[in-house]
Amino acid sequence: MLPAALANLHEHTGLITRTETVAGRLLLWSIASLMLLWHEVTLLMPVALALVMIFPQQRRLLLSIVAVAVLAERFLGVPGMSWMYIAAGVLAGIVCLYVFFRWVQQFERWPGVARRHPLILLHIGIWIALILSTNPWFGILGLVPFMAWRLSYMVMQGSRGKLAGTKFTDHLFYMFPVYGGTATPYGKGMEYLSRHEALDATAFARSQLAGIKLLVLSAVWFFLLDLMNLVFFGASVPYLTLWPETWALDLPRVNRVLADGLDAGGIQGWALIYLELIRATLSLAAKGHIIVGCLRLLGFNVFRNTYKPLLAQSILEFWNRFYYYFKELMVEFFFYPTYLKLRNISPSARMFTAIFTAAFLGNMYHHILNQPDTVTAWDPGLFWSVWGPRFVYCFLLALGVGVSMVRQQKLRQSAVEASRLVKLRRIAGVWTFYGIIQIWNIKSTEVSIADCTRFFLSLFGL
Amino acid sequence: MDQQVVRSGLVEFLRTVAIPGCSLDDIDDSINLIDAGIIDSFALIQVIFYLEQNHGCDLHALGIDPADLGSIKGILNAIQRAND
Repeated sequence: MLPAALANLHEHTGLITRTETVAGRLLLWSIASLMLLWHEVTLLMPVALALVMIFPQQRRLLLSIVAVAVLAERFLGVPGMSWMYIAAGVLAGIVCLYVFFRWVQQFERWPGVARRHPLILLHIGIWIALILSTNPWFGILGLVPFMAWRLSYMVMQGSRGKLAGTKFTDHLFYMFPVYGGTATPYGKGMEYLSRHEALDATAFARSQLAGIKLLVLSAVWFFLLDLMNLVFFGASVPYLTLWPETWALDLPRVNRVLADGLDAGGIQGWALIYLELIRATLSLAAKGHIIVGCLRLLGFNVFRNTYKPLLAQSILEFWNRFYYYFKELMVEFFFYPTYLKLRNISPSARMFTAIFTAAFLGNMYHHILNQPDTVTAWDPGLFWSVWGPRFVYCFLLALGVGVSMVRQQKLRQSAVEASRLVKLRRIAGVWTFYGIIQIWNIKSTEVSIADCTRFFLSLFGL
Repeated sequence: MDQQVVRSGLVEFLRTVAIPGCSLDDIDDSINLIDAGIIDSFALIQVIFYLEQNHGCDLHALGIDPADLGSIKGILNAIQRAND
């Protein structure tokens, strides 16, 4: 997709050498900053980038200092917050986190039951905090959903005894990351980030060039997304006003079809679900590339979040490539623990149970954790209206991933290279599966399971 | 069992779960195979199964984390611990 020169930017020896010079670094910072501003990333990011480029050996300390500003920036978004409250909130947040870090560092002194189930204990604490956060006095606890998995990575590292030699500043920077992110921690925790950290000038330059590449790729995906919204869905795109209105197909989005009960069965329905899948992939890739691009610019040469999922030949491969850091979260916190504990059942049952724990239970839990008000409202009707369709989506996803995993194992054993036609058929199958299950992945309280199922049946003329 | 025999058996097995096109020839034992893009995190499940079936490793009982099985060295250490 990308021209070869851009695709291999981070492997170009001459370019890497030039990037290591003062002039090269200045030029790289200027280009990166312009691109970051264009992508509307926080202004703190170019500042952090400059600091890390001048003092790369102090990377984590500098990023931790910037993290304090990132936390303050979050409070600035709260209406009516005075400077005194912001300062008090930031101080309280950092002190709480420091106390927590010191506590996890002394993991071996925890009571036996807590040492056996540290993550369950942490998540019980998280839910208590979320219930308390409904009280204005504990409003700062509203940050907990964003930090939940970051804290989980810290506790997991502590339980492995790998937190002992680390400093608070080795962890603060990914709790309030200047490189952005969601409740899913891109770049995971410190253990993973440190494995990918550039330790010399050449590795740093290579990482930064790989970061620039992702920012460019992100811009391309955003452009394609805008073009797609204009051509297929008739959306207005300010910089594409020359496109004739009559050329826009003005198709309805799937969420509108479901919410308004529009008639969109048959071929149009199929077109809509495939378009929705492409749209979701482009959107996630474009946003994820900015975050991973920033991480790489700062010297953490981590994997992309989205890597060519539309070329995946199996459901399992798509899941692996579509949202890498979310999948890793599910695998590390749900799949492995379940799989390792279940030794006395058949291999297939063991695999399926672990998959369902990750792709169904873990997936649901993660999303509910991000909308705790649907639980703390204590209203089963509201809970079901928000999460009902997603239960179906997660169930179908888990079923698909489980079947695909068993099939993949058989295919690996046969080791026969598939023909191009077979590969295309497999890709089409993957698109169809994910296109269909996306119907139940609608974020709207106006849409019920019955609405989604009706649309699904209309695809087959029923 | 001879360490070299265990290692070559392991490498042979890893070839069957490696991502197509990735070579395990001359690979350093300490390289993280997932980070290097040679196997994915789901192939690690097959590594666990291989350790259980062929070397009687109970990772849960041994307190070994799947993350420690990312390299050939890490897997060999797990086998060593199971034998101890």
